[in-house]
Amino acid sequence: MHGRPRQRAAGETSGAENDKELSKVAELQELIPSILHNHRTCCYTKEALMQNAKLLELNPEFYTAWNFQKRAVQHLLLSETDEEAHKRIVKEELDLVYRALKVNHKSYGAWHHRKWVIALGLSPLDSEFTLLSKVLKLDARNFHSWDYRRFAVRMKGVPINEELQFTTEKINENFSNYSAWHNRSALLSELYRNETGGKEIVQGRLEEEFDLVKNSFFTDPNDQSAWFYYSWLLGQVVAPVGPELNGTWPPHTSELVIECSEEPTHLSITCTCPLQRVTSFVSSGVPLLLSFTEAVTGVNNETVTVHSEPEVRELSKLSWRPVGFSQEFSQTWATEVRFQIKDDKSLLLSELTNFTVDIVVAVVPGIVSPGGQPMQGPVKCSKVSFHFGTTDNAAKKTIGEELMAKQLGAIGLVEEETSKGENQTQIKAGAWQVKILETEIESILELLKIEPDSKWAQLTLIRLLTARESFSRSRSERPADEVEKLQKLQGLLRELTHIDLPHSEYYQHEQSLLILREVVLDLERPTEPQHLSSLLNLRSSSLYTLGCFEHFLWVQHLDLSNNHLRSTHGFEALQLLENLNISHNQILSFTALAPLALLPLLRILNISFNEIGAHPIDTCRVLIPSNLSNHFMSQVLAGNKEVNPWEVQLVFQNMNLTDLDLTGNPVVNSSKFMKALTAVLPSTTLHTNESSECK
Amino acid sequence: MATLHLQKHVDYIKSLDKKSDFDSLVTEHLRMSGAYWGLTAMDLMGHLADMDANEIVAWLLKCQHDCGGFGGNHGHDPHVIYTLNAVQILALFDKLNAVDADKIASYIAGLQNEDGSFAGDEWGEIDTRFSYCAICCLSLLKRLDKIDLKKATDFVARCKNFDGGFGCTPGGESHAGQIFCCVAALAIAGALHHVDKDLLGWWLCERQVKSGGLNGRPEKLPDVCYSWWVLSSLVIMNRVHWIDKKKLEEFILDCQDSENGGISDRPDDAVDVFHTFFGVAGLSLLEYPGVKAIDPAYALPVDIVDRIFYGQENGFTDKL
Ligand SMILES: [Zn+2]
Repeated sequence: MHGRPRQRAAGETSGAENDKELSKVAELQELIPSILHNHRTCCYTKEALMQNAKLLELNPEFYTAWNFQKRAVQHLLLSETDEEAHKRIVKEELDLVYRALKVNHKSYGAWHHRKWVIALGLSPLDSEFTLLSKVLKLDARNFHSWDYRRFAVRMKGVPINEELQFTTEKINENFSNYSAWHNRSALLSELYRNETGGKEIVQGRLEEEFDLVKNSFFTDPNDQSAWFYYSWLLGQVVAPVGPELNGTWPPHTSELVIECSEEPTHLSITCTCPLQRVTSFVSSGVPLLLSFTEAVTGVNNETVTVHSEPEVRELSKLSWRPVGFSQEFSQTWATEVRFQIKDDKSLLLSELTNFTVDIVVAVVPGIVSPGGQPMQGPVKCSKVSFHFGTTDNAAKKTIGEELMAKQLGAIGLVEEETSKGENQTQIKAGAWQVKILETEIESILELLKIEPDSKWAQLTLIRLLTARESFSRSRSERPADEVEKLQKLQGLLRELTHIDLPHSEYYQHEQSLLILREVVLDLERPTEPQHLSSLLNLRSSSLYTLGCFEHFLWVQHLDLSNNHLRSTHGFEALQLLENLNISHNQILSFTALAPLALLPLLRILNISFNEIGAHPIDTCRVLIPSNLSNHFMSQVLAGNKEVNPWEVQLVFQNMNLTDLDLTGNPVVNSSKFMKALTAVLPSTTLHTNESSECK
Repeated sequence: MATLHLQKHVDYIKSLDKKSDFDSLVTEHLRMSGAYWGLTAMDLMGHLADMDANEIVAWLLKCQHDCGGFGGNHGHDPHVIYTLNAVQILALFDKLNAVDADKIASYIAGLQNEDGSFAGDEWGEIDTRFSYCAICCLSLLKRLDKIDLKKATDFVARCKNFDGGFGCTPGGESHAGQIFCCVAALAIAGALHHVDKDLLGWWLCERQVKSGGLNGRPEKLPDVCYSWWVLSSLVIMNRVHWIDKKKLEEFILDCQDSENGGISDRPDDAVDVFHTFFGVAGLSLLEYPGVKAIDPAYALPVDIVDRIFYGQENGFTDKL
């Protein structure tokens, strides 16, 4: 029941109202049993139909009565052969629906019945549009009416442009019509998909849209409708249309030194790369990682080719797997290059000691996002040299210094020669985008002069500036200027936190992403070789979220202590991570740590002084694969006696930790939890109080 | 500072069964839902034992049809909504073995269309609400293998909109109730990669209005039932801290009828069992003391869900 005033005491209702309700009660008490009886006995007499119509007018939500009505229509249509009679039957149905809608224009049953009747094809569609303009005039936001309109448009085959015109009319009647803006977004998306006239036509249309929507928020800057639409439009301009490759490990131009390690069947791997940190670790194989701008599927031997020169058979058949909870989609994909190790701890290689490897992504189509968008952008590749043998530490350092000395240009991904032409058009497209962004920034600044406290204008300005920032990045700006701009944007977000306090954590989330962009810029600055360790220090950085993972693939030691993180989602991308300090954050539950179970090299985990065990609601509970999300792990549980609580087993059973620090979490006071933890992590040193805290 | 009038709400829900006024007559076709709302609220408030489980289950079983589906009441046609509610009630009472799970599963599987969508019943109305009902119900029965789950989640994904939200069918406008159905269905099916969590999280946190209450769409009035639809979606995506939880709690408590019990859509409106449940469920997600934890996707108390999937009865903090 919605919008009915509460009656404090029984006496408050007027006598007339009371009488009306009492007579309805009597009517319903009589009608319901007799209609259910008619329905059961398939009784479709005139009397039965009249009763049913009466019930539906009293209560259009009585779904079984609509079902009775449909059976009756089927029965009547069969018993009459005359076309006019058929039309009359249908007309009567539509009249009944109309009367029911007058009682409740949000009745699912009534609207569906109308669709069902219309789908019989015995009634003109034009009258449906007359009805629609009437109901949308009464309530322009009724989503049932809009849904029915889309149905009628489909039935009649109304062209997209014509329907788009209808939404323009609705918006001009009242800017605050989110339903119309929504419909517009759907229609335009369809139009763009079908547009064969080239990019310029789509671009021209987008520019017109900006004018329409700006008109709207200049009229009422506090109305959400236009702002959400504007935000979508902006995305249409700046966001790439499909996923792109944005990072690899080993990074482009890096040198790998591979030896046999002390550990049996394991390799010792050292990776050096100009202007990047030296990474050194022990693993059963050499990991290769690909990072994309969004989750993708279709990464395999056909879409990713790994050429080696001279050819090495170990690289010929690699099997790529998504890193994450989905078996299908991931932003990060990984594979491992395995080399056979002989008993005398030397590598079984076909005489080779040195070779170079080219990793080329997406020569053929096949890598797509969950929305089905194919991978965009020029073909990307990463060139890596492999060196085998017993190099000592000094030699490793030499390689690093040598590379430093070379002072190679920009690191990261290179584009294949063949894609140069495509690249030219990309830059041109960038020019159009920057032009739009400049115009829009002007407009929003104008609005902010009139409405300095509009949080919508403020947030939009930040987004526009951020977008312009990422476009000018490719235009080789000075890093110092960039840092200054990022800091200015952070300042704007801080202001917004004060204007709109209830949503402050959302803005702090956005701000975290800007802080991380600054971190990335800092990492790209030339540093002395001795500082190039694989530690990333983000201690006390006001982070509410972690992102930019594509830039951190090399990280082995990560200090995130004293931030505001609530989960480790996304951390699975950090496949080389060995040591994580996430103490003094806001982790609420063990399930928030589930992504860490996907890190094969993680050994030391410090989660001290979080809030595990302090909250009854676990906000990561259904975000991870478990029996609840239909990832049944019965095979795992079968060989193991069940651990209660299940979260402990789920998160920790596959971790190979040497140290786990839980100090300062309420959960350490629960003997049940600690018992479960000890059972799942028999060879891990658990730290649960400050005196035994690990260094 | 307002507090939860727990005992008054318990008494209010208990009183509903005996009524035969206008309200109970116009809702008689959805009595199964009413029972689910009332009973789950009772369990969250620690009073499920006050209800007569045997009597309720006996009535519930009378609402099942030969096809396996349940009607909203005795004598009413089967529908996927009431089939889910019936299974949820059986789960509450730990009586899932009182029904033939395969039969129910085959009824639901029969409602799936070629494009992955679900009809609500034999009359073919399509809506992502029914996708949720089907997926949630089959999951509780551990029979998800009876449908094409990939197609089912792909259909839900096709209903995604420009604002990150979801509609009834492809092209339908985003609506918080619909968003809950789609996000929860994807969560249960392990397909949350279809959800743009930051974009949708932003849209959802903007549902909070000045009074602290949440609305279901932009420029609409706040309503207690959205405390559930919006909040559960935010909890599923781990974005619930993007709203002001304290102000929402105050709004829900303001909607209580402090004299006669029950919670309404807005302050001083008439109470009903629907809003009473969603108010209590909202408070549960807000960690209000004295209210049991609810699972944001299954819309059942956490201990019930853990019992079904792990044979472990105690909720997260009770485990301590
Ligand atoms: Zn409501």
